[in-house]
Amino acid sequence: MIGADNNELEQLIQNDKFIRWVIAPDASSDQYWHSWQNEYYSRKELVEEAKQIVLSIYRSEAANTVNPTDDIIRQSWQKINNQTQNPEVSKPVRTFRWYKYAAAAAVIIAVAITWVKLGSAIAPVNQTVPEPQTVQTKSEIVISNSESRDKIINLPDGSRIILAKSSAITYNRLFNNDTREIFLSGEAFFEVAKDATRPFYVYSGNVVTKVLGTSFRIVSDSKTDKVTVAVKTGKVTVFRKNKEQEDKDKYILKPSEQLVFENVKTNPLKQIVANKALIENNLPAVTQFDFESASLPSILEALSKHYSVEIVNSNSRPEPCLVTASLSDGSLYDKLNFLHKVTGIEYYVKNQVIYVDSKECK
Amino acid sequence: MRKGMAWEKRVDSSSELWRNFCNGDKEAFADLYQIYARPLFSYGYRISDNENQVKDAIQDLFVELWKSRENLDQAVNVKSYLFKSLRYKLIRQGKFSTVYTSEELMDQFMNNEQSVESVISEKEAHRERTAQVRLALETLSARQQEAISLKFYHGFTNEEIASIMAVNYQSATNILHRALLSLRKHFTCAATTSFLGFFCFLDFF
Repeated sequence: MIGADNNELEQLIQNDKFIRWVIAPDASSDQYWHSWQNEYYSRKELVEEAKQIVLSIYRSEAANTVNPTDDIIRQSWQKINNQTQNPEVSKPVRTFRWYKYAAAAAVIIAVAITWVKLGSAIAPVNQTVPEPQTVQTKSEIVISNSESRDKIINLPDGSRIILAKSSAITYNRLFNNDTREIFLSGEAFFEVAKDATRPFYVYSGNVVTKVLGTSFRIVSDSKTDKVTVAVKTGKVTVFRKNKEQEDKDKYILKPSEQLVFENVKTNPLKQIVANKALIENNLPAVTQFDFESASLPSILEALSKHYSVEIVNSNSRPEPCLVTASLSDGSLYDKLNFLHKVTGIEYYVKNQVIYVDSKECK
Repeated sequence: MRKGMAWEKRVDSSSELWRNFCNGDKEAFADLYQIYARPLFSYGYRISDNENQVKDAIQDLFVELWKSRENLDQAVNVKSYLFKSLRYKLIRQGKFSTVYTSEELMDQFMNNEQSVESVISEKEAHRERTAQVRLALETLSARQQEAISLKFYHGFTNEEIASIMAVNYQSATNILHRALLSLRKHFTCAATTSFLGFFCFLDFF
């Protein structure tokens, strides 16, 4: 089964560049390893086998790794933040880049309310009111809807949300973590893009809703702690947040079913959705980006606006780079990958900002 | 893209943040926390099974970093420095220090093929390769497992692993080499065991 190439295989699976290519390929490593394996006929098989080994180790490590919950990350930061407030350091530290957060004071107030609610749900034993956030990191984005009509939000993974009035969501701006997590205060309809490798969680009050790709609505009332989860398509798993294990006391909902938690204590009630309006998908057709001889900056601006992310076009060339493309399917990252393939631009993620290097644009 | 923080391009990405943080930029400090908290927790849970201890250690680590920011090396390899500091903290707090003292002995003991065989046959049901690798991983010594995780999950180079685990470069390479050898053995074995029986070892030796 394995012959003289044993040594080569051993070397390959210990090669850091090779591992990085297998786990997180990019254009330049793709090119390098493809041409490397094309040098000799026998290398194709070698690379394939090495790849399988590296991948299976990575996967099993990933499956074996315990990840901290967002709550723990947040709580820990609050503690760290509290202990590192030294007033003597009064250098003009940029605590908050106001201009980056499009909406002004209203949003900030919404943050505070959401967090207080979440905070109390997280730590029922430790009834300290979380202190107002003095530093908000750029990684979290809060979108609230104070208008009288619904607001549509496009997430970078291609999922879409209809946020009802007086509601707010919080999520990781680039939405590129191993799990997709949304904190909801109020009411929203979710149309979740399929991604079996990254489950999508919605935290509302003390109820957690987990899906892979489906559509559903959540109505949560922070005053009464009542939470309703109503499913339109697909399968949805719902469980209480304070349950350590999601396997325990979880409820699986099918289309047209709903689960109603009247309050924090009593068991929820599973029913057929009576109010069909709850599971009406009022989302418009998926936005189609048709660009004809459009300049790259204008395309990036359109994407940046659509997905509420910051995209910086660095290293642009003096002569314009015109692109004709139709971008409709998939996530923001699918679109960027497509642009990469078509135009040769590179992009990378740093400090919650997507940097695009367009010097190779053609 | 999808691999979370562990595999982001970290060429330079943190060094600028780190420098800003050393110069007192609280926002840069918050960003560093956001970038590294997750992998640090995951790594900490691997070393210690006491989640509170890991939480405390990470909080202490960051508070200490902030307090000593003016004296820190501005040109440090940020990620491996943080991992190394966390590891040192957890191990210094006792109980784990003994796990790793006689590494060689441990590795030899744990590489006992017999035990692997029985583990695999016991859990024949795990057909999937990932499950098999995981089983094989469990037969490695704690130190080998740690090195494998740092390399294949957290994306560190051998040099960085040596620094984190406080051993020299050659030892780190040896640990990994032996771990992989042992893993590969189980692989082939597990893949062929159903019809080749005990011949599976012959593929390698």
